[in-house]
Amino acid sequence: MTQDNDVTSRSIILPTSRKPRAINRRSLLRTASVGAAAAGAAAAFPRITFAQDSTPAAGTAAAGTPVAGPGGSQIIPSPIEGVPDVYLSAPEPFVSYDGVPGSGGTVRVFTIGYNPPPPARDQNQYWQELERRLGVTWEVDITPQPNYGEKSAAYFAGGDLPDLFYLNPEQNASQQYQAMAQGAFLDLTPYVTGDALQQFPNLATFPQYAWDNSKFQGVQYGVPNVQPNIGNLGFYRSDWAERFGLANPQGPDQVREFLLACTTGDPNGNGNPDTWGSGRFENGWRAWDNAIMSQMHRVPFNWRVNEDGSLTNQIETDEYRQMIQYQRDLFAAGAYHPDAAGMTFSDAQNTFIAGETGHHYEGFPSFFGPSSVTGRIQLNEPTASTTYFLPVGADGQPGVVYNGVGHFGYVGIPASLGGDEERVLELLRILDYLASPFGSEEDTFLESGIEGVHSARNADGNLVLNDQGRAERGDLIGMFSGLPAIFYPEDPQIGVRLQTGGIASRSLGIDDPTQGLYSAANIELGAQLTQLGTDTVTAIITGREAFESLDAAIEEWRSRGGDQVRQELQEAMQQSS
Amino acid sequence: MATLRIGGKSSSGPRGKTFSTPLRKRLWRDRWMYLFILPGLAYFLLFIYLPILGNFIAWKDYAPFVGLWESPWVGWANFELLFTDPDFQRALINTVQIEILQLVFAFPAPLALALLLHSIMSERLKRAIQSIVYLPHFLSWVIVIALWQQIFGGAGFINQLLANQDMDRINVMSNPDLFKPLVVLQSMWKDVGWGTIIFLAALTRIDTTLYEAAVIDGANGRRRLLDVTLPGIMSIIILLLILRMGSMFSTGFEQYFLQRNAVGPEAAEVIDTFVYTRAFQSGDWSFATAVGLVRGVVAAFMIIGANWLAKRFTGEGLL
Repeated sequence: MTQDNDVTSRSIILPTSRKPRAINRRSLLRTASVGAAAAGAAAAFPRITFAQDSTPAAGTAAAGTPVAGPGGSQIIPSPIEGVPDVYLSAPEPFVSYDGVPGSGGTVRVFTIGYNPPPPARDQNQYWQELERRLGVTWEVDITPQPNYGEKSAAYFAGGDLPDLFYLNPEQNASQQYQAMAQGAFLDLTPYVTGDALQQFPNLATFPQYAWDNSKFQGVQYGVPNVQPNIGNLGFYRSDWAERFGLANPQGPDQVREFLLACTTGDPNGNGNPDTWGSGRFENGWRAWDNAIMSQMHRVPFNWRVNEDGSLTNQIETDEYRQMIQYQRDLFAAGAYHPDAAGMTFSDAQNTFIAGETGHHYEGFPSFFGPSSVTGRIQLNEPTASTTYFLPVGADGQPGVVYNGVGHFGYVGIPASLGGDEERVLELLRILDYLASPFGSEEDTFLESGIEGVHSARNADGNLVLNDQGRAERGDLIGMFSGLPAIFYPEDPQIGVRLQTGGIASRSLGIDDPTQGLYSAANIELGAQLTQLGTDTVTAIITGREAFESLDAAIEEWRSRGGDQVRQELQEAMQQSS
Repeated sequence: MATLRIGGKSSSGPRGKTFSTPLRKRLWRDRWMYLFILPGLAYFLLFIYLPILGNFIAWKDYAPFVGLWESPWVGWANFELLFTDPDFQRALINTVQIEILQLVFAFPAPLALALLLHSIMSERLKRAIQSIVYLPHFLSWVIVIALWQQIFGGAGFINQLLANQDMDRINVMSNPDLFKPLVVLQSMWKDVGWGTIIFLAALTRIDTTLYEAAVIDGANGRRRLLDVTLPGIMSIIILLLILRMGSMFSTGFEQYFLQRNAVGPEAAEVIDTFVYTRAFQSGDWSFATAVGLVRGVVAAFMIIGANWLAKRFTGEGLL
């Protein structure tokens, strides 16, 4: 089960066996268009109403007007790096890759799986076409997420590593850090920086944050699977808020009022006390956070850098204590679902979809479009609507949002291939092909397979993947994709809303000051310190332990490895500066 | 069911003769039987005995990429960690408490159910009940706990009923004080039916003429139970009890992991969940191996000890 190592990246905190939707460009973002300044958008597209139009923080969120994009498309370019452009119409496929990347041999691939395994090659037209286009035999080992870490370890123990090795240590595979540190993977820096990178025109479009945030101990061991760099926001039932007369709740007091009204105000109108403010599902010291809690209280992003260069952990700050006290009061007042303590991610999601809770959070795009969480609520309650909390502090000033790392893993090449430059170049060319830009002929295949077999055109002329397409594509190339773009073929305006939200979120974004810094103790002890966090805050918030027990727990965190992690990160910071 | 034969000592036969035949001849004579044994034997050699050799990584700081041999030796460090860690002690205490409860309540439950089933005369009704009580065994713990949550949870059926009547909710599923009895009840609900299989098989092996004779001698139901039925299956009960001793330190993982957050580690941390967080999540295979090894050795002693006791007091045993 995934742990957010509370000291490393915060954005990949995802629950069990779940890929962050926010980050799955291939399947979501692309299937998913522009936010003019939200107020403007609302005028231009009457179906869109944004509760946060009037929030002070949203003032910075201003997207542009439509311009001509590649392949005759219309796009709204994002004004901020990390938030993708929105396509208002699909491009006419254009050729973006010259030649065939592979040399006819076999490429062994190890990747993570979230979908059912694809049919065997001889019954899989997508797989056959992929191999024809790449010019290689694509020998892929797709390992389901729960076994992904163990399978990685098995490869390391065997010593014979696949040519393209998908690395994502945050997905329950911290062993990969160890293997990287021990030299299992090739340092790709000479191939993917400076002039060398220009051999791979698609990889050259990758934003700097994705390269930087995918380094380990300062070394580029893999090519990042680029994702938007948007921090998650909490989403709530805006239809309920309006019913309570609490539209657009802002700041701790109003949020509290809203969450309590969900429990006591009978928002579903059935007369029974069967609704609550919120579920929860996270692990670690922010296990009851649901994004909005720490954001409103401006809790630091894992660590705060003091003036003397020393580090203070989030849990050692006053902001953190205020947040825990706030959540404890919420629980006592009944704002949380009674079974919240034991919830898994899917429990929390299901209660929100079933209309039992008024607030939930997960990857940003999960709330946009017909197949989203919001869409699924609307299947039961057609008038339901959701929108995001833009965090505001108790003082009325904007809160903070924790930026995503901007990648979902990276693809490494084993160190044993280091002597074979031709082979390394071939493998990078293959990745370059897989990173074809949105709307290109190559990308259209990678995305939608063969038209008429794996996908069909909808009324608007956009390709929509069918069941056979989804089954045959599976996770064959799930480990890698090109620059994210937002396009919802069924309704491009959904994308506009998504981009507007992304810009608003990004404008409040802060980074983890220790992002990319290496601490051996964190890798070794992270899981148990995270567990200590979950246990501590759950006991305090549910009232099983007194609030004062927080001090003892923080002391325990320090003595069991927290101080050691701090020391190592401080040293790493000094070295890198 | 090889165990039945071991316990029941029914597989005797003309032993003296067997031993006078040369081994080669005996092998050839029973070749087909040996052939049937082979796959099972291969399984145990490959997946049970061979991996035992890997236990030496308990004395190493094993890193998969570095390799089995190149990883550094660390002496008894992994074992020391085990005995100095307060969390491990908590996990150990919880595990033993839960296992004792299981032994007292969950172990005899299938026996009682088997006796009840055995007393049903209608073969059809018996089969119908058997099928129903087997079912929960095939559900995974994820489903079982979701079902219990739906019924007993804070927003479950019972509490919703109470809340709709303006009554207070009762906290069953996230109450640390109720956790241990709760898990024992869950285990019983899930596996009591399945556990009857072996007892029912043993019950059918009791010679019915013994009952007839007992009835003729004027024995009532209670006497027949105590003097015919129980002695008839005692060897099986002892056998299962001895084997049960081997798992005194393993509660299993899923049932506890799934409910641990709801009640907290004070009540629900067991050795299996402890090893999961400490060893597997951090990729500390050596530590996991050390825990497994200690547990295996203790379990072996428990089995041997229980066997010795059983032999001493009842004359029945496993070895």
